[in-house]
Amino acid sequence: MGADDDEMRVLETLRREAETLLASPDPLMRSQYQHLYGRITALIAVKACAMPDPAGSA
Amino acid sequence: MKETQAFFARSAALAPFERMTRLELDQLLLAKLRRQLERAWRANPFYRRTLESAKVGPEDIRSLADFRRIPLSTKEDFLADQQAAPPFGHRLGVPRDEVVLVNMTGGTSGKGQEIYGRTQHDVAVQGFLHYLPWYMAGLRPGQMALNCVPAGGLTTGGWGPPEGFRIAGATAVHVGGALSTDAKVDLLERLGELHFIYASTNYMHTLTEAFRRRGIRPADLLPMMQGIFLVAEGYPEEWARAIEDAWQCRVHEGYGSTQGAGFVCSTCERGAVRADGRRGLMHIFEWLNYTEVVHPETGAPVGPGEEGEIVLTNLDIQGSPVVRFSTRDKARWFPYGGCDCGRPWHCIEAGGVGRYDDMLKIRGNNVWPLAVDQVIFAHPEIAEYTGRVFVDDAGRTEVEIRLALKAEALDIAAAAKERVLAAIRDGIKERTNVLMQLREVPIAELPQFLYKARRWTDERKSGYAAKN
Repeated sequence: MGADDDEMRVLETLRREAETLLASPDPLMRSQYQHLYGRITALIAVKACAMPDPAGSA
Repeated sequence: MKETQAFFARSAALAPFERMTRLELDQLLLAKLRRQLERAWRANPFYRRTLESAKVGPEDIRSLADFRRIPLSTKEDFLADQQAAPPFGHRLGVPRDEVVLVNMTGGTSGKGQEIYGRTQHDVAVQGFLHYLPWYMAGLRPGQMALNCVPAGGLTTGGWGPPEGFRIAGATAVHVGGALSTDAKVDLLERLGELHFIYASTNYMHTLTEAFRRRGIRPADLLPMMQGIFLVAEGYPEEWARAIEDAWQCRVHEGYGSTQGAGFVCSTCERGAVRADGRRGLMHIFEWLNYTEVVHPETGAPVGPGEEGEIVLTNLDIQGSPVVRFSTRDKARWFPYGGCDCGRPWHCIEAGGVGRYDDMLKIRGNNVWPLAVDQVIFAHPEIAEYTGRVFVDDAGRTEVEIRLALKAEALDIAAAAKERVLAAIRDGIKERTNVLMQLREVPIAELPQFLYKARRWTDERKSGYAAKN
């Protein structure tokens, strides 16, 4: 497994973890978590050179 | 002249896209197209209707040729849809509360402004679609980057660059619309450091002329420059070579749009003009925007070296995505392999993107003659006019409107005449965002249009060539 595959695996893990944050009851933080989540899904989208998991990304 | 850094430091993330075979890339594009169509089928009533009317479902798209069964969507379609369901129409495709940015087209067509609602994800992709071409042009973290395009506003061209520079980690200096040209030169003298310039063709010419007038060779003041990235307007190859000579770095170019959510393609490390003097090629970021170039009447894909209309489909945009959007932009298409960089991406020719309608790019603004017609002929005193876009002695793009009054209006008082001209001048500025010079002339000095009016001439390319 190459370094790039490792990065994709980390990004997918981050995406799944960030989904938990999206459910935050704190309105001050929730939109910032959405911002973070959007960054992560965008990074996955621009890096994915194989068809991504249909449940993930955009 | 310095070679672009990208040649020596390729990205591991970009490498798979650069090294995959054309077959592998086509398979990826087909899979992403189907995913996008499945999303549209589920969540985008506008495109669901389009697909249903063509009797095509996502499962019917088994090849890239099948994709052409989907009808084109147009600006007029979007405007009608927005009017029916304001503000975003039926094509938003995401829950309304996920929209964090409204992008609009300029509204200078005289027809109306398309509205796009973008999500957090989209804004990040939009930033990447600016960073990627700049990366390919040699921009690296920490480098001083001058953004000469006005930032912010409504269009992707206003919002994308600041996002792109931020995620590039560049040291961005957003001077577009904020400082006069002389003030920009003053600032650059004070900073004493600059690696990258992002500017319209026209503005790059103006800036270079401002240096020339001060007797400063840009490359002497700023010897660390790595790249110049042009947008918006075409140019002669000789002009690009002269700019490279003055700044001692590569000139690059990108083509993008609000519909494309950023840059759709850009030149590689070879630049906008090849070593042998031919125009360079802009490589299409196909895995992010599926980009067809088709014959404008038959809809068939054009062959190598032929001109056609650019048709765009977003592959990773969530909010207000476009599917087979008819841009009316005209470009010369080349298959992959036309550039010796070896990337498997299809290309369009640098320096020559034009329009199928009569839109003019003036100082970064989209100006349709129809919009100017509407302002001028709203005044019953005017008989006819012509418009001329040219480069003045200071290197600035200017527009001269020559107006002739009707015979019955020739005798109106000078003050009343001045009021009419002022109203026209202000009206044109409001509609097009371009301040134009007005000059009254006798009707005999203007051509007579017996069939279709050809009121506008664009003399900029000869103006660039004459100065350099």
